[in-house]
Amino acid sequence: MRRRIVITGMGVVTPLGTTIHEMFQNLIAGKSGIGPITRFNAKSFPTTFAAEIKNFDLAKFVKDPSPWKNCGVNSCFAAAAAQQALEDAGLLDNTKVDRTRFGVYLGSGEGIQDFNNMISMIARAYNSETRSLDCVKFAAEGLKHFHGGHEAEQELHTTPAHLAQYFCLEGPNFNCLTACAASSQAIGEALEIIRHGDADIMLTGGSHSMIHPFGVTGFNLLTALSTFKGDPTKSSKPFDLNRDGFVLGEGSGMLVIEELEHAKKRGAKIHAELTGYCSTADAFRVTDSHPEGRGAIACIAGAIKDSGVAIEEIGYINAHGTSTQVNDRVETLGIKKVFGDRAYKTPVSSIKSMMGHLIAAAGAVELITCIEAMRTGILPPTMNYETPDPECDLDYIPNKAREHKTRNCLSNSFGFGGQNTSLVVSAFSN
Amino acid sequence: MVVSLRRAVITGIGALTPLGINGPSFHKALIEGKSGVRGITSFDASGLPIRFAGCIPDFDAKNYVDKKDRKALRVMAKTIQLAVSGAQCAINDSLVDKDKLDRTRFGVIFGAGLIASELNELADAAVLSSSGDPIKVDLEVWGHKGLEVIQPLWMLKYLPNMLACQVSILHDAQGPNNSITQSDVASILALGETYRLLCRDRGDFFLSGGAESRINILSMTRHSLFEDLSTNNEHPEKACKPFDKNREGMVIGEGTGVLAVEELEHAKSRGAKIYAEILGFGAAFDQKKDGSGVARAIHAALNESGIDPSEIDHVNAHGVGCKLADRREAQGIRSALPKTPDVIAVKSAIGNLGAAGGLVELVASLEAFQTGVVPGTLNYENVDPDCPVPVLRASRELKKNCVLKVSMCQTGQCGAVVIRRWV
Amino acid sequence: MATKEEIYAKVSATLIEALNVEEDEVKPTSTLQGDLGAESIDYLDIVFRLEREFGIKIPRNELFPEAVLQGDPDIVQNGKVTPKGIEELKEKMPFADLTEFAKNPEVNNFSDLFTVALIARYIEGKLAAGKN
Repeated sequence: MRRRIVITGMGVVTPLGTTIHEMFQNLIAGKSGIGPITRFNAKSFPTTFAAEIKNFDLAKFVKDPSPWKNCGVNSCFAAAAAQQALEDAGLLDNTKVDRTRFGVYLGSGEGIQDFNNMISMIARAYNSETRSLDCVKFAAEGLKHFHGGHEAEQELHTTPAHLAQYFCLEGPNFNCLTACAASSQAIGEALEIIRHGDADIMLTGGSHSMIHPFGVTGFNLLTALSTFKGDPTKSSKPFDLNRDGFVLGEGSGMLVIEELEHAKKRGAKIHAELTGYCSTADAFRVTDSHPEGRGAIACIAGAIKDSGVAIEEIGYINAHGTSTQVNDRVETLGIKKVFGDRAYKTPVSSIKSMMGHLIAAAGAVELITCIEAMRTGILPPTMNYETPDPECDLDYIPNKAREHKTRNCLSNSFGFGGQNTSLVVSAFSN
Repeated sequence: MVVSLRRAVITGIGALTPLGINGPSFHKALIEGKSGVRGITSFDASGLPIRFAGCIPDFDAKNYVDKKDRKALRVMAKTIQLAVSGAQCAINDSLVDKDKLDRTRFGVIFGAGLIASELNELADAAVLSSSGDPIKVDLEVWGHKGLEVIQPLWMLKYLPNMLACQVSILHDAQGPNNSITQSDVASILALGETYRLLCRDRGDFFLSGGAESRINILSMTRHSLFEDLSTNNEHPEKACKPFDKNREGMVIGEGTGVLAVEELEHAKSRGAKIYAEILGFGAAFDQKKDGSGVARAIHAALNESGIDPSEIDHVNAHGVGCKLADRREAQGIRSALPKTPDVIAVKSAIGNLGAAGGLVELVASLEAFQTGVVPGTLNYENVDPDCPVPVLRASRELKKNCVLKVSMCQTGQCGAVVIRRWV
Repeated sequence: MATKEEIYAKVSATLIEALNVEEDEVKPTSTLQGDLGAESIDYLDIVFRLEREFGIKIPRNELFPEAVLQGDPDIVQNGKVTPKGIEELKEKMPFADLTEFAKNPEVNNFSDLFTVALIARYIEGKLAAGKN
């Protein structure tokens, strides 16, 4: 018999709240976390808005925030969400479980680059006439002005290392950065690590912030972000005909997942069971999804098959729903291909309409949203849904939360490069 | 522990290293005691405290990638170009007929690191929006005029998941695809995850690899601020001294290592050349910073492999050449294997290839299986009682058929893999 | 003022570089997507290079107004561009000859309009307008 894996702890730091309760209440109330960018002066960028986390203070979450003193917000969000998840799971105390059987698998993003320093140094070291950079000058400037501690924390492996070090998690330690699918894929692979027996408990999820000048520059150049000119809270419109790109969000979602017997033995509170996972690649193009959604179809179908849940039993789909033309069309197509007639009877929504796109962290926060939806019997809406798109014709729970009991949810995450991950989470019963 | 009837074998090697292209020439240079650590010539490094590295001379991805696919190279930083080149070499070496592969069961799992932007690409925008004062950039000018002069595909060149994604696109690999970003242990974790995926029936053929190039002005400047680097500019080839009493820090290198990993029956049915079988994998976190994490990763890999420690020919160590890291590793190896086999440290000859390191180093052992000769470790002169492991100095004959590979990083992540020569 | 031939030569050189194709593959009638293998991100790159090459500004959706065809049922029905849609395209793309396309206005054929000659014609128009 395959080992069963349950979720015993959850924590979030999001633009709509820094506790699960606060976030979910805001989601079902249809509130928006999107507003003008305040983190830096974005006034003249094509996109001037994002979903930021305001007034975040790590000291309010962890006893000793000093290990994170050189970190960017990405790592700090992770620490705060992990603290909540471990506390929720009753696992902050070192002596309770074998820490060597307790691992970490995150989908966390890079640290925050020192934009001002770097750009002003390039300007000083660059000769516009010869169109060449004076490396000697740049090195001298860099050695003087870069902060070694901050630079070290930009590396991609530091966030999971901090969590393992601080919370004493001595098991396998992984991080994947598969663009917008990262934290979903991390949760899926963490599930497999426990199924295989490499660990009994995993802290998993993701953390990211790209609300900085380089992030907005990069996405704006690719014309991936919404450049909506009206009220920013109306800018993210997944599945609406007039959607014009995604809106950046930031934050972290963390889960403690655990082998069932292990959880039972220690009398843990069980939130839900993680039943299905699949990842695939489009292997098509760098930014375009495959037009027939081949990768998305394979991964949705694969995750449902892995879960053993019948299609009719999936009562809610938390969509990737980025509010870009291509994603929402292809995702709809993929759902229809896998669900057949059931597609029209299965409610689908995208919480990115309210909190934007948390990039690497999106999948984890969305999975937690599914679990809350099952617990409360209330499905969060897709806000800003006004004009139907003939190619997106499913039940998107438009603009108003809905009471609807379900025992199984599907959560999709698709990323640049053709990375697809789907997860199935189910209400727990013996 | 789940026991799978499926077995994973290595059927192809692609490697671009500071000491040669692909397995045989890399191995030959190691046996001859050559060093790939040399002065940096790809940019003017004279302003840096460290002016040498494990460099690949004259790398040009066009020599590796199909002509029809060359368009894609322009959205790839050097690290990504290395990855697709290494992947092509592994495919070539495996002699697999791609048309006969089930694409949905063809996966790509890579280790990757932070990729530095090429500064010239941002220079026009920087000049427009910077007054020259330190730490003063006019963001209004940047957003308004700067964006217009930056290449629109700029960001895509530097996303760490593009190693595995570009490889999947070039080879139509629609199976599992992951990018593991765990610094120096990334590619060994990628190999471990590949092994797990294959055994749980998620695919039959995988490209498992890693690539990294940090030999550029931005990465070298940044790393010299926070890494424990050797400053032996006078004698670069002597700079990396793993486990030596007088070791003086890490040497940065660049390269890629990619393995074709295949299900045994799949490999047999196409008559593939088999280098080795993967027998076990383990990972852990060295939270106490005493090597106990290294030991636990080794124990897990050994337990799974079912071999007796006496069957190990040599330990292919992380051996980075830093004071604390080498001590931790050596003590971890010693405590897991009290009768410690010979230990080799390939980094002594090529430096630390970061996310590519683990797999490039493993290629040295895979080629030892082929040739029967195990390469020694350079620059090991003075025994350090803090590093109680027998370091192999001179090349010697292969005596046994199993190898243990260890990788770790300074922050504590550890991984270990056991492989056995295919006979 | 550059001649027609000079403009064509520069456009062609730009495409050779952006799409990494051989010189003999680029003919006036070559379609960017079908013949030269362009994908959506390449259009961003082509616009960027043309702007630099000719010192002009090409606003988003001006040269490649594919956004017009995204979903609006008045513009696209059953995979075909409606008469209203054709009018809209004519207005947005004065540099294009839509006669052939209008005969069988399938959305899937829209990309075939974008040939090397069309890009050159667009640039001619831009440069002429800039001069006036």
